[in-house]
Amino acid sequence: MIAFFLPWVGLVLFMPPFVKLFDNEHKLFGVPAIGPFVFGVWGALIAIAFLVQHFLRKAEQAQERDEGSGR
Amino acid sequence: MAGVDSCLGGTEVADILIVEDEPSILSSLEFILKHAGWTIESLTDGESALNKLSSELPKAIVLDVMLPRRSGFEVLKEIRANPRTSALPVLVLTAKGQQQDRRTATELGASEFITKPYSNAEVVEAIRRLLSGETRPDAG
Amino acid sequence: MISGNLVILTAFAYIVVLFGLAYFSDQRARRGRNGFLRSPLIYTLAISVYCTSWTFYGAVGSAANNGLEFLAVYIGPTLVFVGWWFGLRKLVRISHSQRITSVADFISSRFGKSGAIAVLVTLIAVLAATPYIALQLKAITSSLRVMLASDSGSFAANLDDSSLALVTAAIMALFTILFGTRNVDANEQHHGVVAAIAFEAVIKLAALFAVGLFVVFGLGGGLTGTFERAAEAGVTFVSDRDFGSRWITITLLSAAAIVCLPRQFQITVVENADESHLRTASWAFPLYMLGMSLFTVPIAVMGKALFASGADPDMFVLTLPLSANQQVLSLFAFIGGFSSATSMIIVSSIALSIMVSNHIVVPVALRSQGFNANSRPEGVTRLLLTSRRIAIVTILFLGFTYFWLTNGSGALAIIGLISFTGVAQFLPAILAALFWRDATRQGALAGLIVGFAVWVYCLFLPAFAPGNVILTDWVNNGLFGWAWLKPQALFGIEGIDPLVHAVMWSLMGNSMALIGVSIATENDPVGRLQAARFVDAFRLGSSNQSSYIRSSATLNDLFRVASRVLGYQRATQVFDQYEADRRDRETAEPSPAFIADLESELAGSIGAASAHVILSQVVSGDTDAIEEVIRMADETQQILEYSQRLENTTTELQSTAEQLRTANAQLRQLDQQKDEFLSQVSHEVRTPMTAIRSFSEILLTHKDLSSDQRQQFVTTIHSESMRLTALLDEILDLSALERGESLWTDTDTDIGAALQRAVDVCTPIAQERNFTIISESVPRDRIVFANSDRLSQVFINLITNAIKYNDSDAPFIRITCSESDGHIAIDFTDNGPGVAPVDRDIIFEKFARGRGEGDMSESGSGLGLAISREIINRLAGRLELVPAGETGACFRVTLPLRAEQQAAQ
Repeated sequence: MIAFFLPWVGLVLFMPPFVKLFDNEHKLFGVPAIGPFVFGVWGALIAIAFLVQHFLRKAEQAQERDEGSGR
Repeated sequence: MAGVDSCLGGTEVADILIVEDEPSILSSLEFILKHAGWTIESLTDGESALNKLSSELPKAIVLDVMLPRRSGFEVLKEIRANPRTSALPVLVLTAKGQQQDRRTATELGASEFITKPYSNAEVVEAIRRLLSGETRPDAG
Repeated sequence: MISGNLVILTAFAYIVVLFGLAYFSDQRARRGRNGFLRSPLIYTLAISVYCTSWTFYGAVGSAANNGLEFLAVYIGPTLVFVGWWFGLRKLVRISHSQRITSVADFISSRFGKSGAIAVLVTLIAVLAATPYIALQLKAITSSLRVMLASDSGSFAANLDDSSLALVTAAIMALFTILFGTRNVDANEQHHGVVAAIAFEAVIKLAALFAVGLFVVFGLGGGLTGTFERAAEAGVTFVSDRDFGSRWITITLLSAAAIVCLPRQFQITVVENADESHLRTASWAFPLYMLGMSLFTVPIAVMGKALFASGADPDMFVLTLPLSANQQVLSLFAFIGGFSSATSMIIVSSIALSIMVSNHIVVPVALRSQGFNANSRPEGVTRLLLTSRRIAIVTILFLGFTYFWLTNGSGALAIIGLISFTGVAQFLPAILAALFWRDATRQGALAGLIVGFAVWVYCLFLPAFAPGNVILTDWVNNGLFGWAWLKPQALFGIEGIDPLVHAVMWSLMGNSMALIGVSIATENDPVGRLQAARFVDAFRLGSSNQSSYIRSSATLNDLFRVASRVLGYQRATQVFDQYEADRRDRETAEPSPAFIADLESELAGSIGAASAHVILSQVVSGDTDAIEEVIRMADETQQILEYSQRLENTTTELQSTAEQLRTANAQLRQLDQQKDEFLSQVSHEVRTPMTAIRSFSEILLTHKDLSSDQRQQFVTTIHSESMRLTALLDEILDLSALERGESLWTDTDTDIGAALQRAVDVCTPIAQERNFTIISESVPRDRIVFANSDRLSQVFINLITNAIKYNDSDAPFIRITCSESDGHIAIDFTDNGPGVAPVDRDIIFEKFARGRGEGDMSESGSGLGLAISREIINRLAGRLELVPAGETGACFRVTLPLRAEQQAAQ
């Protein structure tokens, strides 16, 4: 489920009007806020993707084990 | 042969009751059993055989399976169900050669079982055994 | 000061290192020790061939001009990879099971293994790659120019841009040929190249990081410091063009490109060794891109702050360290950029050359008569390699030509986006291939053509406009001066960014053509089969069903073909394997499964469409085969639809099962009837036999019988024998009737006469028992088409039955007749006991005797009514038991009258 929604959530966050919210004069660490926002969302997507594939693998391994013991 | 009759205390009860609907077979059985020295009573259907048995008790019965009105198996079942007739020796004759018939006959309590066509001696032997109280080893 | 010769030497040395790395990796892989080479890490690094010199140099340029727009180029792929579970995984799964060799192969394979689509996709890919390769050439040339600027003594410094680019292109062509076309691999996997690309990926990331760290911390004094220094210099980070339609468009384009670009398809899909590597790539590749983009903005703002406005922002990555006199760092940066350019050129041209050789050269060669006649064992392999080498040279030359024609105009990023838009035309077809079963070959072709045309017109050609009068006129005034045909403002819609404009029109036209034509057309059988295999890839697993059912090809034929494509050695391997595997060694005919395997083996070398053509030539000399393919495709389709609508069809399944059960029960009943019949026959035979045997024994053993008795017994034996004979005759008669054999000939028969004859025959028996036969309204001159003997037989049987079973005091039978609807009906009504309700249904069955108290001596075989009914049925009539009066039975015989008499009525 998460694997399915992840790209779409990412798409929404990166697309206007959402991304426009951060496209202003605010500064963060001396950098226009938009930079940290884009990189932040990007990094979050990567982190979630990592977790998703990690758990998917775990789940599959568990499933294989189940099938293995079932036989 | 009349001497055998007297065993039953003067009543006119035949030694053997034959129930067979095929006239030619019936007449041949009558001939050979009479020649073997028994008195014979003949009937051609199951219903009348049972009626007969309610009043008279022969020493043995020769019973065909395929009978009009009541089949031989039904007759046999009634005979075994009635305490008065349950010990009566019964020779079952059948023209159906299958094992199933033999099994049914044995289960219902036939004393002897012979498949048609038979040899006359075979029938006479079987009735002798019935009357002497023996049973054939394979008749159970 | 860096010596120009040192720069060039370093570049050469780097290429030699790369080549060595590739060579040894290949050797390792050949020896089967490719564990590390086939790891998810190497795979992920190889995918980063996406980050070309456009990323390395161009992103900074783009950031300097257009703010954060450059990020969109990485966000698209990030989304695709993060969502790998739904798109990429299916793509890879299908490509593995179908042995796909390129993006053109993928699309053509899905759409009925169409050669036309393969050619079109290849053409688009080559054309779209041209600006991209030009971009790399421009990057190398510009970077060399920057590096050499300080050393006018170097020989390279005296060359102009074009010559420099040409030399670069030539060297690249040479190395690509050495890298990529040494042999033809069954799976088009290039272990050595992948290893080299992965190495380059590390180099370019490290180089960019080094420059980035130097700029931020060396020049800017920290992140905040960088922006503050930039602000002091009057440089503000522009963001006014951000996040508009271009942002959306580029995100979409880059998402499409990560799949559609031939080199990305090559690395991500074709070179994928294990589907699970996608898991790692799903987060690691976006992470790599994030790393590559991290320092882009700081470098851009710093460059703008330090240099005059005339400086080329594309080269900030080089010029910043150079200006600070960081020679080693700038050389490293140069190698990084060089890396990113060369990796792109190598992989791109390999992927494109495979497409060109598999989809254009081989099919053409296959059609030419000369090739078929020529059966050199190494034929196709050599042809493939030669054509690939030529293709590589051609592709690089085209790239150079583009560079030369456009005079190196335009920033790197803009050139790259032209390419992206070109390959994005594959996207609708690929999506349809993956998810839309009803997309057809014609639809895909139409979509590709429309998209391609719009792209060429709106984006590709206008790029040449500067410096070309005709093109400039086009762009400004439209083709033929029609304003609505202006390439950058179609239909008068002005004011849109040219890129957005071209992407919008091309993809919209593409998709609409694909959808519209697909709806209007039907898939052919192969198309349907492939659609099912692609769309249902996960459901079908990797089963590779054969499309050759019956083959007329012998193993020898196939071997000859296979050895031409795969080479003698590999072909021998494949066939030996087959010999070892197959169970029946009797036939010389290859199994369909083997042919399918062989096709995918060949597809690995020459693409699905060509492999299909080449094997079809050999295999389907049999015209029935195509019928069967169609049938099978239909069935496959049906089965798939079946499983898709499982819930709806459960009832259907149940009814099928019910039908099977019913059929089974009927069979069992028939079997039981057969047993019963045999048992009945046995009984019927044994009964007379019993009497015969018994009386014979009596005659044999009793010598003292009276002659009367003797006479009586012999008579019985005789009559029982007769009865036995009659029984056997009747059984044979009935069985012949049931088999439908013609035992008699029918003629025009007077039914009244036949009835009279039957009555005459029966009268003596009837009189014997005081039985009255009443013939009322006997038909006169009624003609039926029948055999009069058989008809009489039926009547006699009915009358004697009535006599036999009648126990009334004054027994009689009444025969009446009536006519209606051209049929004559004769009723035989008696006053006997009738037929008991339980017997009504079975009375016509074999050996079913009435249970009434008949005269047992007269009992027949029990076959009479069964035979009678068969006879009447054969005469197109009916014999039935109709309800009679209070007592007795009524049998009715109905027969059709002759046509003339029907008319006479």
